[in-house]
Amino acid sequence: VSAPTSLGKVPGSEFVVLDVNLAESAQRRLAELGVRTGARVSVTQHTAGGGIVVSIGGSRIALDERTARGISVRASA
Amino acid sequence: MSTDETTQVASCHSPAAGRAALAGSPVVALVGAPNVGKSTLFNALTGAHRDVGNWPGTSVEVGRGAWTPEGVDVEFDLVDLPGAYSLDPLSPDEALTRDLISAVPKNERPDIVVVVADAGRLARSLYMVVQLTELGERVAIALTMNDIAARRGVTIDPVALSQALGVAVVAVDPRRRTGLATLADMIVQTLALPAPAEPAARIEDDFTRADRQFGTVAAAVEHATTTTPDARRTWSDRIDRIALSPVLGPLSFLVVMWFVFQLTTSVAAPLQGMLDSFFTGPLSTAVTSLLGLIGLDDTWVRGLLVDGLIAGVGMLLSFIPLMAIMFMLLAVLEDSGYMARAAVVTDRLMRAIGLPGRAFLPLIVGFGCNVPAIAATRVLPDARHRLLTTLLVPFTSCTARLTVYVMIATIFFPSRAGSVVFAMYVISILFVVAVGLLLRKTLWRTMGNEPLILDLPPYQQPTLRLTATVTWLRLKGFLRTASGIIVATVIAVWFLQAIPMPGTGSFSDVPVQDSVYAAGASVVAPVFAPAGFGNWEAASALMVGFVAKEAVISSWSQTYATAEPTSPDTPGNLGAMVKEDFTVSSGGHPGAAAWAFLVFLLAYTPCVATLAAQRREIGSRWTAFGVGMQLTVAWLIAVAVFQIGSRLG
Repeated sequence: VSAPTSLGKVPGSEFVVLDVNLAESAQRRLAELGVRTGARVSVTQHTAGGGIVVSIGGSRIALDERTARGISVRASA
Repeated sequence: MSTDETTQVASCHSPAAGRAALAGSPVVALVGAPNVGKSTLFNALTGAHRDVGNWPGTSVEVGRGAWTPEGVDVEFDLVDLPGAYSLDPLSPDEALTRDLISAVPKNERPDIVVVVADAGRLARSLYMVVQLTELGERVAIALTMNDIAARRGVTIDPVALSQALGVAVVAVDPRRRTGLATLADMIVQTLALPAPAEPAARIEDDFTRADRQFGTVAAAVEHATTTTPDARRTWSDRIDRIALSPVLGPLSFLVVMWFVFQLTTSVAAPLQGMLDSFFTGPLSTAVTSLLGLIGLDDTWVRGLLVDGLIAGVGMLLSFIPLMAIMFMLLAVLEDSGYMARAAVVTDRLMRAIGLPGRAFLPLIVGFGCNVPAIAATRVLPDARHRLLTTLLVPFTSCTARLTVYVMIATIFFPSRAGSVVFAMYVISILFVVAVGLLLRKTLWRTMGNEPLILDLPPYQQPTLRLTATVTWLRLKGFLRTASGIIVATVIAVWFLQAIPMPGTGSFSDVPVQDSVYAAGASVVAPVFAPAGFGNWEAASALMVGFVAKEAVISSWSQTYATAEPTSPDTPGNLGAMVKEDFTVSSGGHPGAAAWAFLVFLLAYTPCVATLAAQRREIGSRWTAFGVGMQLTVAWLIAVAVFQIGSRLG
């Protein structure tokens, strides 16, 4: 099991969300989209301005850099 | 606290809603996230025709209608509540929905709440279901967009979902009218069951509760979903590798914006010109000669009809091609899924003035024409962002202003006209950024930098029918709200120009400089003295410029032609006369006064049509605020430009 890190910093494939540490409204919005503790996500794209696109279930969700940094993950086995 | 809203619903006689249900019919409330097909379902059930646009918050007003299902011996009173993701009052629409359902006494609540859920984005729709059941509401789920989900490789099993959540689930397709009878059956069955008990209050904080509820949702979704690899997703991801790439993304965005700009200017402009010349040419001539037949062609009737009514209606209609193209492009960009990508690409840049990435589109369009640009602010889901963008759009320099810049630059700076015009565009951008920051720092200090969390739908081919419907509805809306103000203002200006000052002529037979209008301009003129153009001719041009910027030039040619009837009406002569007046009013600094005039022209109210569009989007009060703010900014900067310029030069 790899060490926890924040979603913004890591390149690569599959992660498990450990914790979402953001403002309440952002946290809730993410939860509505399925990004919550225990969810499996993968990064499909890096965007202009430091943001990322994550794949979760059948959806693609664009996040800005700060939001991505607030999501801590570990690489999934 | 919700009595107002409740009364509003009870007394809703919106013309859009259908026939009212019989008294005592069970009240069925439709709720659901934006864009899940809730309004379409409402229309299918009640037969009422409502706006079926694709923008969040489309059904802000609460609609109501009778639903008489086939084969069931009952009529339902169907209420269409505003789009909401949850009962957490994060937006006014969500707060209203929450109040209507749960903050009223039990006997005023709907008998059953039907949650409309998008099968393709199920998790998002179900949170509200869990919240509602925990409030002790009778709930049923109408599962929409099953075909679209299937094309994405997602299949939802209604039976499995029903087991997981303990509520009735029916797959429906409002467009093909399938599942509607089953939905009615399910509602009747659910209503026949004893009312769910108010669940025991759990001792848990908001966060724990939300987390537990999301857990329930996640489990239910997993239980009911079968996923197969999706070909369209793969294609979407491939397109996104370019459309969202750090370098190519912004470049392709600029290409798309270039097309939007080209279409709203070079394609719409000739059409606009054709309509305009039809109204000022053949139609005006025809009406004049018709009036000649009954001997009215030399009277005020001709003036009122031709210079007032026909000119006003002509101006209104000349906007139609432009608005139609704009609304169509918006619908296509939304429907294809590109708008969400554009928001991601421009997010960082627009954040600088506190606006989300999507605000880029209306601001770009504004450089073509402000009127469709203000309509384009609808791509912004947040009301405060819409308001701020609507207030900023008039500072983007539209093509109507360009013609005036060219004329003034040619008169005053013949050798550097091109650079002067270019500078006006730079100044326009500076105005947008500076005023944006100013409003942000004063009026909306609490407006935080909202995080970007955006669901990217897979790309899809825009459907002709939806595009056409949305375009037509928006166009109709524009005509309904803008026609009055535009035509009325044009007629009012004609009236003021037709009324002579005492002892100078008769009604509608008076040179402009002897009219009440010119007298008004002379009163206004001294206000512009500190800016170096305090002559009545300039003030008068700015006053008609309030109606439309194109009118500035025609106003001048009219004014100066009548002032000196012997001289031929050539631009050269006109230029010389304008320059002479500016030299006098500026005390020998015509260049500085011309710059001040240009800046004022850029920053004050662009035209009546823009005001009409603003009033439609943000209401009369904010529109009035915008007018005041623009006049203030325009005057202050014009004075500063002249005072500094005249000292330097």
